[in-house]
Amino acid sequence: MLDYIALGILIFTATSLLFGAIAILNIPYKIAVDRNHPHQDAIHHAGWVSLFTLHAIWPLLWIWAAAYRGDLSPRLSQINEDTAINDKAATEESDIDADIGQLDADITDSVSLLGHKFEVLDDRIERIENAIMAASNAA
Amino acid sequence: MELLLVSTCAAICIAIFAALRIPLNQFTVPATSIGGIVLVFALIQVLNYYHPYTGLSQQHLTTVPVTPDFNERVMDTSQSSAEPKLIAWFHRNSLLHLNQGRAAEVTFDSIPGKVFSGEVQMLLPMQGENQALTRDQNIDPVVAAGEIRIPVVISISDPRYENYATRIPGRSYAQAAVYGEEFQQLALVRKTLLRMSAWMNYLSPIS
Repeated sequence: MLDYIALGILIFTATSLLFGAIAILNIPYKIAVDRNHPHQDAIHHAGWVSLFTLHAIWPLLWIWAAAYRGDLSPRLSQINEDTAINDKAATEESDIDADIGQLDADITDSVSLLGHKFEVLDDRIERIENAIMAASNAA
Repeated sequence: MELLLVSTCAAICIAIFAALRIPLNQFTVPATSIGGIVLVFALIQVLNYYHPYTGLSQQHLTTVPVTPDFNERVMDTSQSSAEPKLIAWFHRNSLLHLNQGRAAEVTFDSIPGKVFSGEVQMLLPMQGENQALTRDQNIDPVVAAGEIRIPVVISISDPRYENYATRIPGRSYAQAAVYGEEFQQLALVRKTLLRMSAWMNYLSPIS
């Protein structure tokens, strides 16, 4: 009984180790992509090639990938962008409120200005009409 | 044996990572490795101390000469009985767990996948393995490293062994384990590892 349990464990070990060897292979490449690494393709290829060396160069690939820190790391810049958008939205909202208040004030001003101008125009029209009337009477 | 144990523990870790979808990153992988090294190191030390194992075992044919009975005027050499016995060289720190009568198990490199039970028959005087072998002018390079070890005679009592006993030539290599009385649960680990090692004997070495 234990004989066959041992055989099962042996097969499980072999399968799992093979799976694990493939699974850890792309970690340096993923790090490189996250950092927008200029050598990310080289790191990707070297990851697969490291299978030939039984992963002997794999820790070096990890170091290589981590050695570069991109200013425009896609993940980091995504996070920055998200925060920026949120901030912008918040300021925009308060800006709009302020703008509406300003516009209200402007409209009130304009309306009162218009009223004043209408009065002036009315006066002038009246005076012109009076002048015309006087001229026609004289004729 | 240690390599098998390390591989199995690594395989279990990989399976847990895959099953629970734990991300592989600069924190999880080194933490698991360090934890694994500490645990496996402790397990190996406890196993080796309480349930000693050795890959250096050989079957020897010891001839017990019987004084010819001249009274019958015929020299009957067939009375000399050649009894196969397995000598396993254990590391010195296992001495206190190699008592006579302790349960033991043996697997021969030439009988893959089979583990035979037996017990410790006697301890021989400590000696370098090379001293035991130089007489035959055939020193195994591994054995000739010359570490002083404890030679233990193991008698195989497994009934299944009778089918093979006559087919195994002298000096056949074997792996042997002796099971101490403390940490019985860990003896199960040793038994499983010995069986895994026995299955591994189906693979021929590639060189």
